[in-house]
Amino acid sequence: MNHLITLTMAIYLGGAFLISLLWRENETVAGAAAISFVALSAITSVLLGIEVFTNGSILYFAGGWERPLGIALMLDPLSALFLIMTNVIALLVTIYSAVYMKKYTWTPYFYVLFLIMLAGMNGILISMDIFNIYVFLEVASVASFMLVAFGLRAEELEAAIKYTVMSFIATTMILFAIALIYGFTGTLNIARFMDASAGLTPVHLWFLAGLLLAGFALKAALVPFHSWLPDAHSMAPAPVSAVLSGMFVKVAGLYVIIRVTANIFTNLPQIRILLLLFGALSMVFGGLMAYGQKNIKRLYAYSTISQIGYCAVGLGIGGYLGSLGVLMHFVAHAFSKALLFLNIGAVEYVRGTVESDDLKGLNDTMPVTTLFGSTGMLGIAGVPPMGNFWSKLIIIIAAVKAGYTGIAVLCIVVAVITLGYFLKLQRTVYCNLTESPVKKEAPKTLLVPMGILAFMVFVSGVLLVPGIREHTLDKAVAVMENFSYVDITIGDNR
Amino acid sequence: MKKKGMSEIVQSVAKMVFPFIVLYGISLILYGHITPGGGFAGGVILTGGFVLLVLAFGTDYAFRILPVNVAKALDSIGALGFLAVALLGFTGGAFFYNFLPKGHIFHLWSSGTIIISNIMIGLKVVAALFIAIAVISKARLIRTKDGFQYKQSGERKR
Repeated sequence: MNHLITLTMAIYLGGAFLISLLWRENETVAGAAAISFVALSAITSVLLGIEVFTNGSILYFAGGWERPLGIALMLDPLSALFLIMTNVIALLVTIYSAVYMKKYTWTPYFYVLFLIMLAGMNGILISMDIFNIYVFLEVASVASFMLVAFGLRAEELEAAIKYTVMSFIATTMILFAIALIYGFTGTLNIARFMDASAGLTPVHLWFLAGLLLAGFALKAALVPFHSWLPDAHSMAPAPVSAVLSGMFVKVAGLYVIIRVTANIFTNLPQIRILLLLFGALSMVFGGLMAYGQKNIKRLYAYSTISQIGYCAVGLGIGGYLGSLGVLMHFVAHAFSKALLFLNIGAVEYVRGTVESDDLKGLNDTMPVTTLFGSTGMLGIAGVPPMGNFWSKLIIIIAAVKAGYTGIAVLCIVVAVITLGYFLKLQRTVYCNLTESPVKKEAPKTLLVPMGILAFMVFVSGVLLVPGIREHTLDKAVAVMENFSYVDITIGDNR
Repeated sequence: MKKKGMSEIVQSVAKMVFPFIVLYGISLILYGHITPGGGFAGGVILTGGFVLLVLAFGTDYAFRILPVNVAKALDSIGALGFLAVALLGFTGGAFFYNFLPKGHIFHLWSSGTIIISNIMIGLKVVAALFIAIAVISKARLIRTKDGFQYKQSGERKR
């Protein structure tokens, strides 16, 4: 069973290069192959997740080398949650792109890049070594630069170049921090560094934490570091936007920030104040900027910044409730944002535009797409039955309990702003009457993944039901609260 | 008809030096596990040889020696081969496990799977860098009314 941990990533890499070797001329076969590889990996990660949530974390050493020598791979409940989400959303998005990508040329190469990006994301999640995290971050990022530029229009190239430059600034800072970590402590393993960091002076710790936090906050697009995200996420093809916005910022940014704050710099509580500040700024700024957008994809991209802000605030508050809120918000937002981007992609597929001025009366012409789109919007706005409502509620309660009343008020205000810009979108785009409604629904292959995601948005709150929560989210929260290597391996002889 | 590429002197020297560059690159790849070097360094030097050919004789000559389609295939084969070495490790019980005999110390055959990994990395690097150079020397993004278009240009006029 433990061997499966390497397979999720290996399947993606093997699939990508098999497609580029054998089927680079044939887009139908390439699409089918990509779907089957992603499905295989999704099944693997679900099996792994069940194993981790029932029997505890998996620790694996590449090459069969003994401890300190072997490269440690680890899957604990926290990373298992992210792994399952990544691969399930990736599966739905790949099915969607089989039809959607038909309007692009060179589709087989899209699947190659897409699978390499997923391989990098899976690699980040199974690595226990901060340098491996960096390597896989680069693998995933480089693939995503090319995916953003896939349409080769002038704005897409501009967005991709901006994204590339900003991303390399981030990774330079991260690499610098990694070099310093190795110089100071002689280890790159997260758990070992956590122990070794006790011997460092506060200046060293602050410098390392600052570099790592700035680097990964840039990948997560928290507000002072956000400028690449609206361009990159609105210019990419819709399936890519769905994965970038739904999962990539969370895996490459949020997940690693969780590791950095909760697992590496545990004796540096001030870092949480910084996260609170960044998070509050992101919430307000993203929400207000989303209000004025005419391009719907760009609106969704700003909404992502705002919602990532909620996650950062939850992380900044910390404690059981804060951590629970972060994870719940991550799950709910991943489903609903992926749904929204796929939804606007379907609209673009049928109508050929994403400008809100040119789209009118979608409710009459594309009723099913509208239904799914509205579900996603209500989800992100946090209307009661959806998962996002509970996550926002938990974050607000956590803020009040921790004494951050101002932050709690801000969370409520931003929730209202969120509902506001989505209602504006509903008014101008969806529920506007047209003179002669001609029904032209999106193809079924686009509708089915959206339907599944919409269902997930509805039921994701079920993760909080007592009885289910103890076996899923609570275990992941436990990793965030007190993480130790000894818990994973009993009889560790470091 | 004027000959393509640079002057006679450059072409003769390039022709003479090219085999040695290739030999040096291959040696770096094969002995990567016991001397400084390895798949990446050797692969880059091999590509350097091809860059010399491109500069001296023009792109067409270099593409006759290593056609782009072959390079594309080699690129994927290198990656898949590396992955296969890693996956075959499961026969010994772990990802990347050394399942081959270790051989004699300081000989060419002395490291089990590392030499195969190095060869595969070398293939991948040489093919990928060669394709990158081919793209830079041949392909252009042409600005059109609705954005950029990818175009393969021919040999540039001198």
